[in-house]
Order: sequence, then structure tokens, then C-alpha cells
Amino acid sequence: MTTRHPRGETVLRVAIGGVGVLTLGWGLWLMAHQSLSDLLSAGAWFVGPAVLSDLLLLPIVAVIGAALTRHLHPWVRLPAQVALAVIGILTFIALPFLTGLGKQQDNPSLLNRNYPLGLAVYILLILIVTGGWALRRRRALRPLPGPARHGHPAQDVTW
Amino acid sequence: MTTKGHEDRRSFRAWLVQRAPTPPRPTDYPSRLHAETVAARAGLWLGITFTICFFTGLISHVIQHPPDWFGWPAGPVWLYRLTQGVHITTGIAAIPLLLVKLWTVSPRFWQWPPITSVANAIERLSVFFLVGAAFFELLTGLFNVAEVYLWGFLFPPVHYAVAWVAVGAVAIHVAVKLPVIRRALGVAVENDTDRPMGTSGDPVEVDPGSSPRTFRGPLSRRGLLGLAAGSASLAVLATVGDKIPALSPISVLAQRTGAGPQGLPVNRTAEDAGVVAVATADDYRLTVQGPGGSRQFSLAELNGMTQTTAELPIICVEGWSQSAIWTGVPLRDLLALVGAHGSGARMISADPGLYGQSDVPPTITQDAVTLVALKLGGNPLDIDHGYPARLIAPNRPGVLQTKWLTRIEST
Repeated sequence: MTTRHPRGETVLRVAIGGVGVLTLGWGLWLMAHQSLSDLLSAGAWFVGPAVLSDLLLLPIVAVIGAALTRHLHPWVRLPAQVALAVIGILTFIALPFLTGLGKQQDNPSLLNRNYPLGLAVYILLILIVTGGWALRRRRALRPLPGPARHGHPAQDVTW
Repeated sequence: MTTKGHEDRRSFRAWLVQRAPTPPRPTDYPSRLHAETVAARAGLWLGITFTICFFTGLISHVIQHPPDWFGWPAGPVWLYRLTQGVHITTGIAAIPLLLVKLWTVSPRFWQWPPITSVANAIERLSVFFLVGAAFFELLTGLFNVAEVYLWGFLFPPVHYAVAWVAVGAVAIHVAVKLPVIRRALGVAVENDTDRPMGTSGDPVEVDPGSSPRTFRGPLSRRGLLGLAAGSASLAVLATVGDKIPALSPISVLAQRTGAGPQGLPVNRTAEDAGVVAVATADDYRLTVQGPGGSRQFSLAELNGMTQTTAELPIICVEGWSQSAIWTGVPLRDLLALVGAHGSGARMISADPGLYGQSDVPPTITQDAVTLVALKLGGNPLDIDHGYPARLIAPNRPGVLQTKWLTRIEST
């Protein structure tokens, strides 16, 4: 492959970047045809999540994660982190459905599931699976008689 | 910053200033998870889902707004069901991938000084467009599926325009990062490519722009990638049931169960469209206009014509799709009665709204199972399914399957 050589790679990068600039520019040109009020509304949805994810979402996730798992015993800490992350992501996706704002009085075929119950069942299953995993780790981490178990993956959890 | 002793506290104000939180720096993120090997892999998956999502979205756009050069075939009948199902599903799957990718590279947001060079400024600007457009597309798409419209703009044209911004920003980002991507994908995920791996606990000289990556928490890098893939799969499983009916029982976050009048869901009701009176009027007539003149048909006359029965899916742009058995008069037969042979057609509804009309290209009008449907599952259409007559054509977005037909014009 020519891209193995720095010059070939440079050509490739310029080509991809050039296509990117044209594509992005086309998108902005399409946006320029929207009305000012549409642009302002869309701008809020463009800038808001991008900035709030760094300033709000990730710090909150870090703080919650640390608060809930920092003092846990190593055998339960990893399963707890994984459970919280998966539950958090699933809840994030469920939020617009949970609000019920999209329901229409005259259309019972739309948004016709019990979303809080469905999410609760998924959360329960996640807790059962990660709980079982934690118990297995607990058994594996219990000190056994005999030589130290160097290199066991569970050793990684100590810090 | 905190102070232990208060003896140097000259005033409350000075004390406050001293206690004021400072923004974090990349070096404040010690975890080994903030590594380019993880970012490159999560980014690769995200790039693949975005690319598929973009092209399937583009297909849906050009079917609804066809340029002159574009022709969409009448078959296979499941093709649009596949492309639009994939569009929504890759979008859902990209949400966990985007969150994990942003988590991995989050220390870079706090780079200090915020701009170090012209190239760095351009790179950061392109990342702003990338993150802004990515969140915009995924969130507006998700909220659109939930029919929660917390914005003032019309969804389709803006979602379409920002899609171009998103893929453009992805391409620019790949161009900027290509050497890093190649380097990072070329080694095992647990390796550090830009410097030797620091042993746990040892202080390591680090670049102030990057995370030291010496802290080994319980979660490994492989584990984080597994978490990303696992949550993406779970999110798909939880939402895909309105596209694949067999998975409906476990898709607890799907837009619909699939239930509805005559066993089929409804997107726009007759009441919502304001067509109840027109559609149920005794003197209902369907007008068909072509080069040979104009003719009017009562529902009884339409029912008296040669009927065709076909199993065709309704495929909503919001992702849900479901097959049903439709019976009606082939559109090409009606057009032939007014001298339109091989032409396209404009279908006009009693619904005065945005989606009250659709154009059918000749490739679709001439298909044997493109029907002016009068029956669903052997019974007259429910009013919410378009009574007395609606268009049902193969391989076509539901929004173009015009209901409550009052007029058909050859084009």
C-alpha cells in the first residue's frame, strides 16, 4: 500500500480532508437555507449537547461513579461499575420514551408500551447478571491455601 | 485547591479565591482508559455506524425528494424496510459508542493553553463540528422516534443538512488523526504507542496535553470496549422490535408493539388529519385525471373492478415496519382508464397537511402490486388506515403511501 510511505499518507490525508471540508461545507450551505428561528433552535441542539457533555455529563458520571464504587471491595467494584454504566446508557436512551411527551390521544398504536416497567425489567436483569458475576469474582478472590496466585486476572482489581 | 492551615488567610475573600475550583487539566485524568488505542477502536466502530447511518439516511432522503437522475426500484419489496431499519438501528447503536468515545478522549477537552497553534485551532474547530453534529443527529433522531419534538424546526430538512456536517467532520477528523489511528490500530489495545508503558504507581513524565494513563482501575481497556459494544447491542435489542416483530416482546423501548386497528399500527390518524367527514361522506368519489380526460369512481365502482391482493409492508421513516395483506385496484389499471400508459402519478389526499400528497414514479406505478388499496386483511380499510382508498406500493416509505385518496393525476 502506498500509504505506508509518508508522502502517500499525506496525499491520502489531504484527499480525505478535502472531501470532508466539501461535505461539511455542503451541510452548512443547506443549513443556511433555513429560517433564522430554525437556525437558532437547531444551533441550541448543536452547541448545547456538545458543550454540556464535557462540562456536565462526563463530570457528573465521574462523580456518581466514584461516589458509588470507590469504597467498594475489589470483587464487587468492577461489576458495579459495569452495571452502572450499562444502566446509565440504557436510561439515557429511554428518557424521551419515559417522558411520554410523544403520546397522541387519538392514536393508541403509538408509544403503546409500558416504558418505565420495561426499563425496570432490563435494569433488574442487568443487576442479576452483574450480581452473579460479582459473586463469582468473590469466590475467585478469596485467598486460597498454597502458593500466591500470581497473574490471576482478579489480581488486577487491587489498587 | 485546598489549604490545610488557615493562618495565611488574610480575608474571607482571599480564602475564597484560594478555594476556587480550577478547571481540570489532561494530567488530572490518570486512568489508563484515556488511551489512543481505545479511542481509535471506538472511533472506528463509530465511523462505521455513522457511515452506514448516513448512506441509508441518504437513500431515504432521495426517495422522498428524488433528483432527476434518481430512480428507486419497486423491488425487492423489503429493500427500504432493510435500509430504513438499518438507519434507525445504527443511529441507536452509535449513542453508546459516542458516549464511550467521548469518555475516552475527554481529558483533551481541558487542553492548556486551549489553543497551541493554527493546526491545533483547526483541529479543535473540526472536533467541535464533529461532536456538535454527532450529538445533534443522534439526539434529534432518537427524539424523533419517540415523537418528542423539543425544537422549533422541521425535523427532516435539518436532520438531513446536519448529516452532511457530521460526515464531513468525521472525514476531516480521520484526515487529521490518520497517523495516530494507524499507529493505535497497529498495536494491542493494552499497549501505549507513544511512550513505554508506565508501571503502576511510578511517576511518569507526561505530555501536559495528554492523560498520564498510569492508573489501573478495575476496568481494563478491553473491558471498556466490551462495555461499549455490549451497551450498543443491548440498546439495539431494546429498540429493534418495531422493525422485527419477532423481537417485539423483548424490545421494551420500541416505538410500538405492532398493535393497532386491523392489527396494524397507525402513524397519522384520520382525526389528526381532519379528514373524517370527507372520508366517510356518502358522495365520496375518487377522481382520476390523465391525458384521456377525467373520471370519477365511487367506492362501489372501485370495489367492482378487478382486484389484486398482495402482502406488502408499511415502512415508517421513524423505523417501524409491519407487513399486511392489502386488496385493491392496481394503480396502472386506473391510470389506463384515463389514457395514461406508463406515466407517473400524483396521489392527492383529503389530508391538507404536509404529507397529503405524494408522487409515484413510473417504475412504481407500473408495478403489478402498486395498489389503490380498499381492503386490509380482507376487510374494508379502517378510517385510520386510509378509508375509503389509499396507496400501497412496494419498497416505499410509509409517508409516501398516501391515505384518504380523493384525486390521482398522471404526471
